Amino acid sequence: MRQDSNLHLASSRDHTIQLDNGIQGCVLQGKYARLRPLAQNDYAYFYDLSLSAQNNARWRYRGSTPSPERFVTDLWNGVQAQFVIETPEPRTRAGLVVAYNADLANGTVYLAALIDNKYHRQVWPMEGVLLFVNYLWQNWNFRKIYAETPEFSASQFSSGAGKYFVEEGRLREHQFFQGRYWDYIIYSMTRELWQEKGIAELQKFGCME
Amino acid sequence: MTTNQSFDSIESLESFCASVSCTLSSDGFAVSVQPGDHLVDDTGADSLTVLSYVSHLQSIGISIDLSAFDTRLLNIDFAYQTWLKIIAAQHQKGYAYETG
Repeated sequence: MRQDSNLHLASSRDHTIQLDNGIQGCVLQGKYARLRPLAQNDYAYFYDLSLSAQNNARWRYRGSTPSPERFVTDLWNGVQAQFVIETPEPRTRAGLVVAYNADLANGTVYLAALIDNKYHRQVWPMEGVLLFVNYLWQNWNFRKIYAETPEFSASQFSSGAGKYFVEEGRLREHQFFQGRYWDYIIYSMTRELWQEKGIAELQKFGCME
Repeated sequence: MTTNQSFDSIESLESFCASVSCTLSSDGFAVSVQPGDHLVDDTGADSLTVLSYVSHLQSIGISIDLSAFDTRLLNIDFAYQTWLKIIAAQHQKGYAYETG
């Protein structure tokens, strides 16, 4: 009887821990990174991350400081799907991947990724982003996935231009930041490019020991 | 460049850098690595380039656990020294096997 009671308590505690980690459904599991849906108890973390010195100009607010209430509204505005990127064990929050402004009639969607500065020099967050890209191709009949970025942020992934994605358009001297105007670039990845080259990058993670 | 070719041709830090640069170039990344370089800070490598770099290090025998990635490997000198230790250990193991 006592054993049963202990089991029940352990089960309740596990359940509480799971709730604290967020929604457990629809988890995308890579070899290192894991993606899970965003939950209410993630909001404060992402509010801080979005407004951090490193991300404030790169992420959507471009230097402004929204109220927490507006932040939560914006977090879901126009979203087709978004997941929290979690670290390898022990799992903790490491970033966010979001697909937004989907145009299902024309088969396009925008992709954005926000990675915690603590993990910028780690390799595994890329697995989380690639898992999400693969998820988008698998679940919707998209033709193109767009990514829009100011020029000063493009250096974080621009080496893939011409290989995994192409520069679709560029707004010249569009965004003001740190005393000057920067170009605003729109990249696109097609389903064909993903199948030809992109998915191989995701598979690299499975080969690494 | 095949893995074996890159492996056999490494005789110095300079040739180690050349093998890294060659592999990254063949993967489509225009990065030239020189002795003393930090892959991110000095060559401006981004996350996709780093992924290719780590795959290259794996292919020449450096075992990397990505869940606990040692960012010192982004320093080319440190990566080379790590590789030398692995090669030395392999030779020692082989010698012990041959004479044992």
